[in-house]
Amino acid sequence: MVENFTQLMQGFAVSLSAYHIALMMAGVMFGLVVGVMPGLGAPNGVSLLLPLTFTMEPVSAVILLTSMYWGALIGGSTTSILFNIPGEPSSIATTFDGYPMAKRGEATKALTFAFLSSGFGALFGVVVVTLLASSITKFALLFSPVEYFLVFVLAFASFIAFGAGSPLKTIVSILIGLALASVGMDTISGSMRLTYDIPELIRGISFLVVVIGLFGLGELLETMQNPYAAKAVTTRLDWAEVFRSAMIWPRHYASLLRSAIIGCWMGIAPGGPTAASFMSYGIGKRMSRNGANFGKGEPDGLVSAETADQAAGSAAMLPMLALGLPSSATAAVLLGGLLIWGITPGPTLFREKPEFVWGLISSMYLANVVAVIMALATVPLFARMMQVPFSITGPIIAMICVIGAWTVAGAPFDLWLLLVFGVVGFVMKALDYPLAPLVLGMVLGDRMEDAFRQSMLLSGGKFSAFLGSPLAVVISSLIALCILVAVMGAVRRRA
Amino acid sequence: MPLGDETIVLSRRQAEIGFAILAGLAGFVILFGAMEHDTGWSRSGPEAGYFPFRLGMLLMAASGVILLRVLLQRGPSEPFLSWGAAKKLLAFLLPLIGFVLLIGPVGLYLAGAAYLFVAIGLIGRVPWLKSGLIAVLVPVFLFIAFEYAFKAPLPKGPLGPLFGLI
Repeated sequence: MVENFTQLMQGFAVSLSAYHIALMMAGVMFGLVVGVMPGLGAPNGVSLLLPLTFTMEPVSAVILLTSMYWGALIGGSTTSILFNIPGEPSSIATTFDGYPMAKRGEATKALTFAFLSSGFGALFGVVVVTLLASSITKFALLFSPVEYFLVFVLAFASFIAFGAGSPLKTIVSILIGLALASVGMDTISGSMRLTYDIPELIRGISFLVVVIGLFGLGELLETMQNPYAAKAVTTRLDWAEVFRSAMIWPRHYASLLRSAIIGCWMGIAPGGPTAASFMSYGIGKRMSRNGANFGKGEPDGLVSAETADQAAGSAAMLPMLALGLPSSATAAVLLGGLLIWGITPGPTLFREKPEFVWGLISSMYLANVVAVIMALATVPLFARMMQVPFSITGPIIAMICVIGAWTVAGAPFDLWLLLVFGVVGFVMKALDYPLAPLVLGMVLGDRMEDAFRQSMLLSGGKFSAFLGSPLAVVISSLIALCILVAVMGAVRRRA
Repeated sequence: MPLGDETIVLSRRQAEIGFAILAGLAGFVILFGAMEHDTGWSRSGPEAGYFPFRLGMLLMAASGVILLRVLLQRGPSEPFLSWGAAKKLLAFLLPLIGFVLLIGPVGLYLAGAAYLFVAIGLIGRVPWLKSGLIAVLVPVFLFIAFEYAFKAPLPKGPLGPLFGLI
């Protein structure tokens, strides 16, 4: 614990430079734009910005991109409350009570509550990350390739069991992602796989292009179908009311604490912010004294959704850094970024690059405070921006997606991939195939295969290796449990 | 037969079947691609084709089950795509394809300006002056951002040398 605190202070020495604070503000601002505009989500936004960070110091790059993520998570709630349009999937649950509150004339109160709860959730998450960082790395040191392979399988199994989509469709999504990851050079034998003699496929398929297609163009195509008629409840913010709301906000401490814990749990165990906000909202409805009013503009409902959303987002950094295990689509993109910057996540990262790890963790404290303040300050700006018709913003966002795909490698072939995945993303979403598992499969694919082949090499091809250590037995049982949950769910739906 | 905007061109059932078949085909293509390599074991553990081969098989199996379940479902299917919605999708996608095609010959900035003008002015029916202004100002802004601020030059096509003068 004391050791973590010293490390954290050294992290602040890295993150509290004028340059890094400027990056945080720029990142949060980008994130707010991305969170507010439909068609530009957090995974897509981080993908668009990632190629521009290739030349930056890894710690600066990660501060910029994670700040963008915090901004996007917070910004998503502005439109949820004022327009009933969730800017991010993770702020869907925010519309349930946020919009009714705004319609009742309590828009300022709803926004203040949402931002403060987000900030609380985020800070709670960062504190958990700070406290657990050294113990989880000690734990992660017990991992051999066998355990790594199993934990990757567990990540997929928990998506299948607890994800929103049908288990079979989630499996298809994961398999497509894993297959896309294996295109190009095989890391072990060096042979070219699944390239079908197409020279452009030799360098593999970039997950960034796929994410921009699936989440960016795909979402634009979806919005094209039902262009939103953006009518804001209000675009003004009453600062005296902000202050009054902030004063009564702590009364919701029970919901705040409960939701922050749920959020952290869902962030560390794969689930991600979207699942966390829905779960916290559902549990809150049952446990809160005002549960019956959920959905009719109950502040407790808003607090439950927003706190868990942001807590999950920040807690997700822990498994990502310590195990290389992302628990959301955006964390998967960030993980891909780490690999591109030459940072290998894992327990040794904490020892070898403390300035990177603790620079990031310490930046999360500050960036989330910056995000809350900037989110409040920019409400009038974004409320007006949303009123620009989609016939203007749609093509501009599409153009930005094309440029984003180009900057990944400067390859014309990537632009066609972008268009193909845009259509694929639109169709998959419309048919309820979840997209996050696909991205996870793409980012984890290579490492999962390597771990599998290494464990088979070590065990001499015996599958019993997957039950060979106490830890492996525990993870294998958890996987079996997930499969059981998925099967039972399928049977229950049949009956 | 003329198509009204309400005419359903694709039912949800058809779309589900179509996507499951495509996913199954993708599984087959992966399987086929993996068979160019050794899909079994050697002394150095699983070979290059081992993993993709099994991925292809699993993908075919999973999409096969989805296909079967859709085929066995009885009762009317909900609509997936009406002609009106299909037209909107095409109106968005076709200019975008044109944009991507134009990047090679004329560079990204010029192609982008043309795309914005067509997509916003012609298809979005935004007044000419306004869409013209957007079509000029957005690429100019992006030019400054990418060439100077981000130092990530984008393709400029034959106009490249001209940009150099600025």
